[in-house]
Amino acid sequence: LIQVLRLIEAELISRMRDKSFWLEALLLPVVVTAIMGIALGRVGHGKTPTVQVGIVADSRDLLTVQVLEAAFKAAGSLNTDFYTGTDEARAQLKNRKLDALVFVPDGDPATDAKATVKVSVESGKTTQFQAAMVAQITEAALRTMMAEIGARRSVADLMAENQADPSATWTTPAPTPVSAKLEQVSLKQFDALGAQFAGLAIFFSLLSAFRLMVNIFGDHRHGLNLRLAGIPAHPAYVAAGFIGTVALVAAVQTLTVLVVGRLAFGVHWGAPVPLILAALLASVASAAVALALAVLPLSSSARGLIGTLFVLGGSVLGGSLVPFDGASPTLQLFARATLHYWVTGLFTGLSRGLTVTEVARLFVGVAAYGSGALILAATFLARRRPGRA
Amino acid sequence: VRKVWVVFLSEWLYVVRDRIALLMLILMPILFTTVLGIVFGGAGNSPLRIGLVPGDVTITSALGDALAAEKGMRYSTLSRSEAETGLRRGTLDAVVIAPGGTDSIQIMTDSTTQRGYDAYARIMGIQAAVSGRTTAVTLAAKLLPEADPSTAGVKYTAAALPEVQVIRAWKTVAEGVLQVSPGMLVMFILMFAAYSGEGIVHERANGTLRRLLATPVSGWQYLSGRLMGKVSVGMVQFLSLAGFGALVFHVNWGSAPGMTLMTGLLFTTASAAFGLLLGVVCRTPDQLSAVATTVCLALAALGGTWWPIEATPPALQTFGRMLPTGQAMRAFHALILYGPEGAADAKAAWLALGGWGLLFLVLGVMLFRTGWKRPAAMRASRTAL
Repeated sequence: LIQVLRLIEAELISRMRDKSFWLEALLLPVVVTAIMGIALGRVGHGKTPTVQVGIVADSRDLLTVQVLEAAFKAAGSLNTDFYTGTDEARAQLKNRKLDALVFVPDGDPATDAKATVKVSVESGKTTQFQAAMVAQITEAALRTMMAEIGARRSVADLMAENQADPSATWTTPAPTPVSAKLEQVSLKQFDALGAQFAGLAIFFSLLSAFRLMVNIFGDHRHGLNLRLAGIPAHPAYVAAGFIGTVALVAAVQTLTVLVVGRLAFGVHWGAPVPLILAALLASVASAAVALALAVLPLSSSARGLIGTLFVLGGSVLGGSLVPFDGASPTLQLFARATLHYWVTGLFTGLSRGLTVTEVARLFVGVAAYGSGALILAATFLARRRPGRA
Repeated sequence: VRKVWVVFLSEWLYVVRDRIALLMLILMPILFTTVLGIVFGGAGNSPLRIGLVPGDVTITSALGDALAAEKGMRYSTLSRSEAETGLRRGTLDAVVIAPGGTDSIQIMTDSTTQRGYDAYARIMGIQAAVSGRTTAVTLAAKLLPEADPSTAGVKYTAAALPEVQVIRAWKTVAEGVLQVSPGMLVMFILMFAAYSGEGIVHERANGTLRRLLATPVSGWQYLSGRLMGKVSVGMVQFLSLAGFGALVFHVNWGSAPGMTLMTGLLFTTASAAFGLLLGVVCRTPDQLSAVATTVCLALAALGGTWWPIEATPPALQTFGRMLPTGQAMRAFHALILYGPEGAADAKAAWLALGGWGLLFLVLGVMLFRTGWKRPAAMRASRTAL
């Protein structure tokens, strides 16, 4: 064990002397995690920014205006201001005091059959997405309003056709007087950034692990490997030393992404013990996969080709760069062949508050993946000519 | 010109002989575009899985009928705890809770997923229909005073339901394959050009550059050949990826072919100049690789190649649009979405891309001149000659 630890220490010291190691191992994950966190709209402890909407109409008493104000209020993160003048509203949009404007035409569809519900939504120069959200809520609220108006009109038609007396007793059994409204609730643990950062963690750790392992086994270091093979240590200890070094770097990267996610963006990662276990397991599995790729019994160029394809292609196929649940079942089946799929699922599960038992399948998946890679690497190493580590 | 041509060919030799380079040139971007195009383009999606938690009998029945009638949706009736567990485990895309004590239909989705978002939008439509039907049944059954125009205070007419129309007054935001195809093209052209700076690092490290500059090939000829080689490789990459996007995902790359080509050429030149600068500045291949990865990923993310830049906060949008990646995305989006009508945006981007290219090139040339000092003996021998 001491031999292994000394080897890890020596490798780490040699790596840490290189400035580019620090750039790639620490700065890169921090920079990308920060950009992703800020870009996805959450700055500081998970606060969702408020969208400021201006409603422009002749009167605030219009049914359409009232329905929209209620809908925006119910959405939670939208504040509304009311304007009667278009120029004033547009000036506020230009000055970035507002994110979107909703123009409501005159006329009330509830009382006027000829009134058109033709609402336009306008965005500022940089608020297209906020305006798109406003447009979506507007559309849903107005459709609901029109459905209700239509229903009432249908009843009015029905009564007129049957010459029914409004005061007469209706014979149909009465249902519960419920008007169906839509309300979205979210489970506390759900967090969009959690899934994104989970993917980033394995993306960076596997990428670095592969590069580091290729460097260790690289042609330019063969002299060193030969000397290592000459010392009185079992080759397995040497391999363990390499895996330990790479796993340690991968673990630091993984924890960097998780810690930045927690501290800067308030991502909830669940209980600390399962999380640290998952991070360590994922790091060792990354190192094992990197070792298997670095010692493939092929030319160095072919090894690089397959490794790059596996690491970068796996990140997109395994859903670590984008949410993958929209893909077809066949594509999802292929995704299981990547380490990214299992590790991303594991961290995402923990961030959603799943218990260790509930994510046991994913723990086993990551462990099995790492073990398989280790066995493969051992087989490749055993087939190498003696004297080459 | 012949000397420049020889250096130009050597740039291509690096690409053709290196399998990883070939992989990064075409195959990797095509793989990324294909997978992301399928995921975000909506091709091959399986039915949305909905859990329905029963409540009021009428509403539950109406919701069940509406969910069953919806294409591409499958629902099952579950208890609330079963449904929440299913949602957390990812076996359900959304949960619809029929009202019991409350007057609202509740919907739970996983906001992290595209399917959760799709399910939410679809259920909103279902809810509108159920809401209208429920109201009609309620009114007809009970003959509530609201049905009587005189007591409700609102005159309901018997006219047909007016159409609801929401006009989006801003320019369309590119999403799905319209985002993925130019996004991956821009990211991979930049990355490939940046990594290709390694050729210069290698030539300097193994002394080839010194030997080359000892011949009658000047620094200018060397840099020109290198730059043109990188631009030509970038253009091959550009044409292949744009062609792939057009053929496979029907992205409208050919709506303004002249302007699209010009944008591609300017972005490729700026990227090539960036690669040249990295090759001049970095001392080792490892250093170049680390710097290129960090800078390219940051530029790609900030410039809106991973997600529509409109989705980011205003300050980040303003900053991202100043970058070469942001400018290229702006021009490509304008031309893909609006064809010749997007010319104003494209031309503004050309100026910026030209400026970035010039900046990288000037820096590269300056540092190439000052960064490498010929040995005194060689300088002396050249002076004597």
